[in-house]
Formats: sequence, C-alpha cells, structure tokens
Amino acid sequence: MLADLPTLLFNTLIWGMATFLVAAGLTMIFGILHVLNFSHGGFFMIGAYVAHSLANWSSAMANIWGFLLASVITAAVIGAVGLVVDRAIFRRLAHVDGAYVLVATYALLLVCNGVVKLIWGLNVVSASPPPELFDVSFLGNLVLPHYSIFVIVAGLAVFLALEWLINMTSVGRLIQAIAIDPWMARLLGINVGLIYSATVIIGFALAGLAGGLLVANQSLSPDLAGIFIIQAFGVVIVGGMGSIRGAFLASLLLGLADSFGTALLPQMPGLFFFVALAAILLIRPRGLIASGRLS
Amino acid sequence: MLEVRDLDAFYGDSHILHRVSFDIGAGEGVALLGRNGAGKSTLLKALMDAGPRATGRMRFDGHDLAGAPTHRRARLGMTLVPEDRRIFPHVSVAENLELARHACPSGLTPPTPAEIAAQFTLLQPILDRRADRLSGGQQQMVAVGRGLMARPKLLMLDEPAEGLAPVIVEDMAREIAVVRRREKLSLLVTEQNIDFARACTDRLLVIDSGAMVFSGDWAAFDAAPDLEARFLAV
Repeated sequence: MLADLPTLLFNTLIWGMATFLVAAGLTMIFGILHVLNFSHGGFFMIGAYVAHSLANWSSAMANIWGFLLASVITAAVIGAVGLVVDRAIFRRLAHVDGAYVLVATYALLLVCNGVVKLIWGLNVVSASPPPELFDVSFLGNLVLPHYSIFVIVAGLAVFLALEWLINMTSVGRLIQAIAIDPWMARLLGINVGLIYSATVIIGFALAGLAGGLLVANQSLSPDLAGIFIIQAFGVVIVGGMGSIRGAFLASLLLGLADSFGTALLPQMPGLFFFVALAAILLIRPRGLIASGRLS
Repeated sequence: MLEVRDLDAFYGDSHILHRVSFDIGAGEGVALLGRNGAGKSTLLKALMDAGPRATGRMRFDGHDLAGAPTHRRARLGMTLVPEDRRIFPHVSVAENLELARHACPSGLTPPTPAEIAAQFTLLQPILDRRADRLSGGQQQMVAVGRGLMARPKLLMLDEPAEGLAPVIVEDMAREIAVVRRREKLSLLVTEQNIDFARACTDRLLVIDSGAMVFSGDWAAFDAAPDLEARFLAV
C-alpha cells in the first residue's frame, strides 16, 4: 500500500530532528524567561543565510569539518545578536506585561525578513551539503542520504547536550531553580538577570546553529522563517511549553504524524501535522510534559 | 548594622509603610510585631528590594542600599527567609542548602549542608530527601537552614512559627537563639506568636497600619499591657 515502514520511520526521524533543532532554543527561552520569542524563526533564517555566505566565502568550508565550523561560527554570530536583543528588548520589557514582549519579538521577526531581503535579496538560493554528505547509502530497500543521517545525529547530539546541561550539572540545577522561582533565587544571592541574559544568548545561538546545520538542501528565501517556525511552535506547544524533553518527544510524535500523513495523502503534505497537533492538545491541553517551565 | 530612615513602601498605588525608621545593632535580636496586614512582610521585602517600591534611606554594614538589587543585598549579608518558605522542589534538601551558597561574601567559606544540619534536629534526617516530600515543619527548618548558608550578618525571618506544632516551635526558637549567639548574628523576626518572638530576641518593634507605634525592650512591652490589646489582639 504505502511506502515501507522503515522509510516512514526514517522520515519521522529527519522531520523530528530538524524541527527539534529549531525548537530547542525557542522552548529553552520560554522555559526560563517565560517569554515567547516570535523572532526565533527569523534568526534561524538569518543563521542559514550567514552559513551559506560563509560556505561561499571560503573553499575551506567545502568539507564536513568546514560545514560544522561554519555552523558553530553562525551560532556564535547569532548568539552575539542575542546579546544585543536581550539588552534592547528583553531587559527593557522585563517589568511590563508579557504581551509587549510578544509584539516586540513579532516586530523583530519582520525586521529579520527585511534584513534578509536587503542583504541577500529576494531570489531563492540553495546550498548543497559538503561532498562527504552528498552520498547515499542503501539498507535493503531503505535509502539513507548521508546528509539526513547527519541532521538526525546533530538533533540527537543537541538534545543530549541540553539534557546533560540541565539535569546533570550544578549550573543546570541553578537554572531550573531560577525557572521555578526567580524571586527566591534572587533572595539567595543569585544574579538572575545574568542567567536570563545567558539564556537568551544560548537560545539565539541554538537558532543560529540550527540555521547552519539545516542550510543544505533548503531553498533559502525570505519565506524560510515561516516554514520552520510553525513546525517549531507546534512542537513547543505539544511538548509542554518550556520542556526540552517534551519538545524532543513532540518532535518525534509530530514527525510520525507528518511522515505517515504524507504517505497516506501525498496531495496534502503537512495536513497531518495540524491534525495531530489538534488531537494531542485535545487530550493533553497543556502538552506532553506540562510543567510550563524548563525541564 | 542596619539603619532605616523614613522608609515608605508602595504596592502599585497603595501606600503600605509610612516613614518607618529604626536601627538594628550588630548581634542584636529584634522582633517585629503587628497584626495581619500591618506591613511586617512588606517591611522585610522592602529591605531586600524584593517586591514593594520603597523610598527612604537604608544603610547596611556601612553600605548605602540605594539602587542595590536583591542579589547584591543578599551578598552583603542580608538574608530573608520568606513566610511561604519557597523550598525548591526539584532537588534534595542538601542541594536546596547548596543553592544558597551564592550569597556568601567572597573571602568567607560557606558552611556545608551537614554543618547546618547539625544545628537543627529536624534537618539532620532529611538531608538527602527530595524537597517536594517535606512536612511544614521540615520545610521551615530547610528554609531557616538555607538562610544560614551564606554566613549572613542579618537574618530576617518572616513568620517562622506560622502553622507549626507548638513542640516544633519551641525547639526552633531554642535552636535559633543558640545559632544567633554563636554566629553573632543580627536577627529580625516577624511573628504573631509573641512567646516565640520573645524566646529569640532582645527587644521589639510594633507596627500598625504601616507606621511604627512602639520600640523598646520586652520589659517595657510588659509594663504597657495596653500595647498588646491595641495593636496585637485580633
């Protein structure tokens, strides 16, 4: 009837890990600052363009290590932008109603779109993966593009790194304490503002990293922000706002819905993502891991 | 140690504290009494810049507190143990204590959780327990113990005896008095429970409708029995 099961599961992993890479920074910032950063997709897009420009600028980037290096440089660049955004927006709006931050980050998303059009133009450009990732392996009937395997491994690596940071280190437990009760954390002498700034920088760096890692095989256009951010928002909501673990599970679940749905109804790609999103939220309105904060 | 002059405090448009002035000397224990809603908690929070908007002059240990954010005040040696205790549920009791080491001034070594636990009978058996599985009395002892982790110079306790069994309150009063003397700690404690307040302080302040109405030692308080009827009786 359909494509075979292993292919569907492989597609689930690709969709899930690519989306998780974009969603990780979004859910982290929400989990700690309790702020929804609409501009996240915009900075993911700028990250993709920056990585693309780095690859074009130097032929040293034309192998897998160069590709990774370009992604890390992109993460640093977007992280530095995060520092500026934190000073200009998040810190200034820390003491007013959350709706103002929403409007401000939405405005920032529009600015991101404008910046991309100004610097890189309206034309669609595309990047190819480095030659090592150009190949395809076969496992029985299963077709495994190496770049897809790379994206899956990268998503898993980012997930495990964040899990380790948050749950296994003392800094992580400190960050969780701040996410739970910033007022008490301040009374204990913890510089909460500093951790908030660090969170914004890491969240933005994750957006940049995702842009760099996912740049290949994408059509780069000023619409790129919208495509990924809807999936990322879906994953963050289904996962339970702010939960890294929840976002990871939700990425896999929604990826499963998307890959099976696309196989069932190829004329309506993306439909089952929304069906699954609605169905899960009907059963668990607050998401899979409903703490409303970093976990 | 602490000097407060003409402190006014506001929540939004409501004016809670009116020109409150007082001092606390080094190593001195002071009780802050008053009815519910008199402004006791607001006063403690204003001292830490942890909620109300405050005007007036505050000095602590030679430092002007104007413009100092909450965490800086904590690092100067001021500790507030809030009324609702606010134990972090995601870690153990020992890790709750360790989180408070951040406020320890540089140059001082913070105590270990075991050293703190040795001073409070209720704390010792629960150090490794997850903090979301504690009774009210245990939570209060964790909160007080956590308040001592940064080697503070001034410990502020907001209604520590509230909701606790009388036998626990007695032990806690005795243990706090011991720690206070040994560490030469200044203490500011708000209480409804006059016996508890008396057991761990030298003198008292009475606050009513946000204004200071009495300052003196316990003998002076006892000599003016109408004080209790006017300002403290429910």
